[in-house]
Amino acid sequence: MNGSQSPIFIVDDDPLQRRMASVMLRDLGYPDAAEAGDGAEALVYIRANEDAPMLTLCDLEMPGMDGVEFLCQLGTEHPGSTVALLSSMDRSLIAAVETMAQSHGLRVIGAMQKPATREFLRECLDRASGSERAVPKAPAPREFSVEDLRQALAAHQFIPFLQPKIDLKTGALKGAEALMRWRHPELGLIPPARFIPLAEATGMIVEMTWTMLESAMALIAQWQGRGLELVVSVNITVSFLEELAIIENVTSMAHRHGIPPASVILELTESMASTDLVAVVANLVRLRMRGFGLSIDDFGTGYASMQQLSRIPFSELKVDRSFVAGAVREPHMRAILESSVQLGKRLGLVTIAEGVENEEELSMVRTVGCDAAQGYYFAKPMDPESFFKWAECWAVEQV
Amino acid sequence: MAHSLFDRNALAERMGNDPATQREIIELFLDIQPQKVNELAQAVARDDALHARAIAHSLAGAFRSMAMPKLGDTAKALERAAAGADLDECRTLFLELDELFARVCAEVSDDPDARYHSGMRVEVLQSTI
Repeated sequence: MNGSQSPIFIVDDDPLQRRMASVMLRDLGYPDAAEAGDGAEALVYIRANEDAPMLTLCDLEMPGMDGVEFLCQLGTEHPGSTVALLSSMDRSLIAAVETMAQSHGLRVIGAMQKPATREFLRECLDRASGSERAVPKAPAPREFSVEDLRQALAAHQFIPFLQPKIDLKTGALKGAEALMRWRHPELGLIPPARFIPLAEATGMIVEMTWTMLESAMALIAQWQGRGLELVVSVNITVSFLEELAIIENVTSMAHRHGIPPASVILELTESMASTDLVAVVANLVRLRMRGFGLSIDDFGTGYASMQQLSRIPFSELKVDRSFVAGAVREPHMRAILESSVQLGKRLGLVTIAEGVENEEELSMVRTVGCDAAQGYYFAKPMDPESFFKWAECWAVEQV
Repeated sequence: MAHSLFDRNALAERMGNDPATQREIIELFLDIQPQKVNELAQAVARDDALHARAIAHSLAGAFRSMAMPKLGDTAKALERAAAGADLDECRTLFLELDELFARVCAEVSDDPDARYHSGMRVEVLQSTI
């Protein structure tokens, strides 16, 4: 290990590989890359510095602490850190580690089978420097209690942020996904990862979902009045589906807002769709019978079998973002993306690509035949008024 | 004349045309890899497939990075044989790799006295008996 804090960090057990990467980085304008020979050494370096490096280039197979364990630790200690993977392992294994790293909260901006090329490193540097510089060491986040959630619910602090879904054939705005945010009076906007796990663990998620559904339906009605006809998706959980009066309550809520059930889609994650609870499946069937849309979210990340897909009458399939990002670089990820889209189409479902972030990914999801897409390439989730303004501008641009 | 095992142009394309940098990389290669090849020989000679696989993996990466594709492919084949605990195949592939490695060291080294001479061929051959 060498040097004080550097924006680039190379973790590889082979001094030759480190030196070669270091020389190429030097020629690309980063002369002082820090180096470590395995994961343990890398963690010592990162812990000794205030910020995580702008970019960590990580080998996977190393004696001592390997790249897999290092990435898990890095994700825990510095979520959001930017990494690129370089390994002599098979591409499918590298892709699996890439997915794992993303699920540990890391931003994986590249993955390549060795040898590294100048072009690969240049692309990684462009991507890393184009976003955040060094990732600051996260301050210990405040822990919330159930009481905090209750008070926030009573004070109407849980609000929907909307992310557009775009029709890939026409370019038209097709709908939006309502994502829950907590607008805290002192802490500002709190991301869902900070409070949803607690809400789910304590059952508070059910009341919070009702609030989101109510807000989403109110927005659909309000936008209809302003000439914008949109379908809005709301995420639901199995515990929500276990509510006794769910069918009557959801239906009467739509009726009260004067909106058709078809303008609401209920999104269920794939792992939750794997439930065997007869009552839950029955409620999903009944919701569909009443005309509500049902979407299987994060498709490809859970364990849904063909049987689950056949017994729950989904109307929409959302392919997980990891396949969208991976398909651009990895043939086997592309195969999974294509197969998922084909499966959705053969089952008569509308297929949506999640997490489209750039033109390359957009072109890929178009090529494989997705019906619609959402992601930062089009827009980040926005508060309702910003969303409405965005929708107006988008409509003008499409004419 | 034997076909070259080292694509000097490909290395220059990746590492740049600075002769000093190329020399530095080659010297680093000659400093590190012979020791690794010897470690591989020891692992193969004592039927330690686990260790042999790890070293062969590392060598495959280094050879490919150095634009030595034939050596890279041989090391990769040895890595796979070791992963499948096919020790006979490991020995056969090691002898092939050892010979290729001696040739490539002679090819890249400026100093004829510094050429790689495997001290482990006998041990590996004996381990087949």
